[in-house]
Amino acid sequence: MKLIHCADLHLDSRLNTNLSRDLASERRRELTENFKDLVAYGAENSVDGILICGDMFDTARVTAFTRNTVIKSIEDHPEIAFYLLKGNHDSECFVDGWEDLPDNLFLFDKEWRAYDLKGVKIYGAELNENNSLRLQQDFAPDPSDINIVMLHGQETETGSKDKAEAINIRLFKNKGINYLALGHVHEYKRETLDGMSVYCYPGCLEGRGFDEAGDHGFVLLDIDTDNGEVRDTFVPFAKRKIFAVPVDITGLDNTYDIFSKVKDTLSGIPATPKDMVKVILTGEVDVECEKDTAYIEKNLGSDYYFTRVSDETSLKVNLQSFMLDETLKGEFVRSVMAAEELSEERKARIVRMGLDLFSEVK
Amino acid sequence: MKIISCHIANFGKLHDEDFSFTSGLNEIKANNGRGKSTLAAFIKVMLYGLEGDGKKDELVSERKRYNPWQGGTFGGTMTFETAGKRYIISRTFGNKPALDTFELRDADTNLVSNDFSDKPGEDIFRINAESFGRTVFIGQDTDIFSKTTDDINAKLGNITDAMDLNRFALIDEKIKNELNSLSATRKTGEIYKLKDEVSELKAVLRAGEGTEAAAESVRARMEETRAEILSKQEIKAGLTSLKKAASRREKRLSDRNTYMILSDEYKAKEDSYREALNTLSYSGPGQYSDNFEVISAKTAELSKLRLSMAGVELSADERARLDEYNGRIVDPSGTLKASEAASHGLIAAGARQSELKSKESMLSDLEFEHDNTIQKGKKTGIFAGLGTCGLLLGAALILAYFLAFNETVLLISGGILVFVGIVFFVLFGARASVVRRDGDMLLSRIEKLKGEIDGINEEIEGAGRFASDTLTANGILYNENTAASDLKQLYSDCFDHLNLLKKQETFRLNDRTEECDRLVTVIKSLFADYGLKPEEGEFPTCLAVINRKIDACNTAYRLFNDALGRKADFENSHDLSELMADDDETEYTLEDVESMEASVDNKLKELKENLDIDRRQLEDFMERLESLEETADTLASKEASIKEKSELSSVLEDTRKYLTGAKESLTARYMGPLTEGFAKYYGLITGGPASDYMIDANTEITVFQDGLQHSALLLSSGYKDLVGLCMRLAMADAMYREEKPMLIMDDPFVNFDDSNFAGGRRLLDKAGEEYQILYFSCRGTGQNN
Repeated sequence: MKLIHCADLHLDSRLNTNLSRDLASERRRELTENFKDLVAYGAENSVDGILICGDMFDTARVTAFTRNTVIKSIEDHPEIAFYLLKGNHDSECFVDGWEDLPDNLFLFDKEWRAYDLKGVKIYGAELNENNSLRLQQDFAPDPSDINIVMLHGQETETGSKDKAEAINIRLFKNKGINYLALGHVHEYKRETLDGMSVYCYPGCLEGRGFDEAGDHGFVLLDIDTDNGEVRDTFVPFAKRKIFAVPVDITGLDNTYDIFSKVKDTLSGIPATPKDMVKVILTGEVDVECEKDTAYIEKNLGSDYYFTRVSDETSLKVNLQSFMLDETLKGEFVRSVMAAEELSEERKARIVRMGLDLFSEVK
Repeated sequence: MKIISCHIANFGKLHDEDFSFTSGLNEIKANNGRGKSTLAAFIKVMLYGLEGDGKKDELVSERKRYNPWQGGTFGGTMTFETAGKRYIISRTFGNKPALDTFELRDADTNLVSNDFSDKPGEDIFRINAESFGRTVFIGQDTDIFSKTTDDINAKLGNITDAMDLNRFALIDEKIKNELNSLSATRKTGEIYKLKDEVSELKAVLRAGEGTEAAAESVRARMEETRAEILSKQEIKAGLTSLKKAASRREKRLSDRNTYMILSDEYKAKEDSYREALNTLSYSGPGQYSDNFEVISAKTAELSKLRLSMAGVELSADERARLDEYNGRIVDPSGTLKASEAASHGLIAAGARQSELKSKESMLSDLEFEHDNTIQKGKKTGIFAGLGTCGLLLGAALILAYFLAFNETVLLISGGILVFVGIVFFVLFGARASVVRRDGDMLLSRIEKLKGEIDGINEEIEGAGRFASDTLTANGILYNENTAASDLKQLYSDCFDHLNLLKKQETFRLNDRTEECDRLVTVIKSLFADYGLKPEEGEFPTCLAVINRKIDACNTAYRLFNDALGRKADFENSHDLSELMADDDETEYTLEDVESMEASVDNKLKELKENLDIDRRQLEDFMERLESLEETADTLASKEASIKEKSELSSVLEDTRKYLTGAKESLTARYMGPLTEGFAKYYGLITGGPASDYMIDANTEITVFQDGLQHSALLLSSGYKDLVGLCMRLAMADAMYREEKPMLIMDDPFVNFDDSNFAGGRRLLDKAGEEYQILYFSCRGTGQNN
């Protein structure tokens, strides 16, 4: 039997941190369409069920497009059972009280609930402050069954009784669980649960911001119903990959050289024109370094779907070069660098500002 | 630097004038309007070129101001010495800068020199024309008291890169503009505008503060509604089981009633069946219908026997006819055949009569035709004879011609006769042969026809004789006219006679009366089993009665059996003990439960409608919250922008602060020499100390009076000029510590009182020890030293 384990789709995320209004809108639609594609993948690969381990939606408010796409995708594939667990983002979800839910959509509640799918027991419960610890402590499936458990929360080894989202992994060890399907962490993570099984975060189905760079997708489970063996495989499925690429420009002092270094660095990553790339300029540059990040960003723009250049360099003031400078500029730099009331960063900014002004005014 | 001489070709009012100068003080005295200021201006123009191009005001535009009155190209040459070398500047000026010429030559070699640009003043004094006008050059319209420039400051500070200080004002201006543009207090400032926007956004957020609570309230209400829906659904689930119990109860009652009906029906049908049996009153052996079948068969057999006998017995009429026939017809079978044959013979004879008449008519016609043929034969024979005679005669004549007479006439006549004789013989001889053959044939046919007529007459006569004999043999007189009908009657009687004889024989062979009597006895005994004693004639009626009663019995039995079956089926399919038990799960009827269920359904519908309303309202709130979130994002973005711009503003302010500090630190380096110089020259003019005068780092001069410092600009014109002159000389001292520039002073003491004028003269004498001074004055006679 085959199952898809996915989580944290965050459909209808606003995505306006980096993207313009139009691009954010386009990406929102892409996120929703990717769920449709995921279902199509399931249908093509004879998947029996899709486990959605929380945060399918980013907020309680779901657009009509997303709601209709989700419901229709589920309705169009009655051969696939959908198990929807709500997370901290979508604890209030449109499916609550929805009268016409598809017959193949199965929900969970604040108590343990189990569904039988062709002999496999699929457990799930939505954790909150009141039930989290109790549910985790009380969980006792029949070890003779093939048990798949769905939860949404942050794994801990020690347990954090006050946090609703904390999942104490120790409480699930040696309980006859064949696979612990988790959601909440946005990166793929796979760890051993006990001798017979693993727990896994599939991560986001699609990266949204530059803090979610790397491969994203879902976990495909192939379950041998005779002996309960679960084989899990991560399947990259994002429409666009996100890259956050640090470029050390220490020692460079002009935009031309910096841009060349950036291009050279980017040529070494597997990004395609449909991907999103953030270049992070790092290192220490001279305070007189001529560096136009807007130019670099603009000239990388056509290479990728979206490009952002972030300047995280630190300024270096070479005081020695101004020591014998009898000009106003030299006096200015010396006076700033000698000011005890200023932090080093502040000094660098003032010096940079002053030198920029000197270079602008002829 | 020292000016040695100059030649003015054309410049203002001066034309072709030559001047030479010495070191130290050069006093040029002349009355007003003699060209002193023009000469001073010429020297400055030689060093810096014309200023004010593009200005309309002639006083500002030197090109217009010093354009020779007589017009044309203007300019001249000036010889000067600096750094131990002498140079000659040659300049001419046209109506526009493009027409200007400049040339610098080494005065000793007369070679063109590139030691200086076309503005040698800037190269030599390291100050621009404006700064030149504020220091070593006091022109006719120049304010003696003037501020320093960055050039002057830079020169004062002995700064290697003088342009830095030049740029200070520009940078400072730029920072000021940037700060103004960013300003948080100016309405046009970006931070001010952002703060305005932030205030508006905050107002929007404040207005929406209740939205989250309202949404939460709706959400809570929805939770309550959902809980109530769940509760009602549980009640409904309970009602569903109650409904099932009520349904089971009603079914049991219904089944019980059905069973009672089936039992009653069974009893009634049993009674009906017994009643039908009583009515039938059967006392015989076996089933009540067994004897009926026997009676039916026997009665049918009896009827058949009776019927078989009744069909072959002679009636009285038949018997009378048979007697009459037996007396008249001896051999009915032979007579039947004879009468038939005689009748046929008469009919045939009748038919031969008409044939006879036809043949007799034909005979008469043949005999007439035969006679005509005989006559025709005779005539044809005559013509044939004539032909033969003609032939013979002709032959004789021809013979006679040949034999004896040789007369042509004979020959011709004989030929004609032969010819005619041959024609006649051929024509009529053949004809006569045909006529004879026809006559023979007719005669033959006549004879044959006569024979046939005789045969017919014999047949007719024979038929009459046979009919007569047949009738007469059976006692009927022969009459030719009635013979045919008499024969037909005889034939019919024979036929009837033969049939009656056959029927009489059949009856004799089928007589079953005894058998019938035995059957009647048996049938009567069988009827007795049903309580009936009918005569033979009543048998069918009694059979019908019994049959009807048996049918009634059968029907009653079938109905009884059906009722029994239904009852048995019901008993087999139901637990009668449970059916009859009185232990109902509920006292509610189905109708009661359905009514309760409808009430719950209505409530559920109402709750769901409320939930829908709340859901829509929550969606509105969520939409508003989303809008508020966007506003909050915008607010955060604006606040971040304010922070960023404030930070930028702060950095700019710090930059300005440290830049100004740097500038002041630099200028502070020349403050000492400047103050000393000022005090020296002030003392030369006034003879007193300059302790009340203060010079700051920006070379601003203040006067300390009544415990406060006041701007020197507030001094009287005379003192202002005095302070300005001292300051200029102090600055020249500070700026040029090695090679001194020349000082050009065009009547600098005009506002001085007599006391200070004398002081001024002392100053000139003293300064002349260090500087070449070109002093232009109208006081005294105009002399060129």
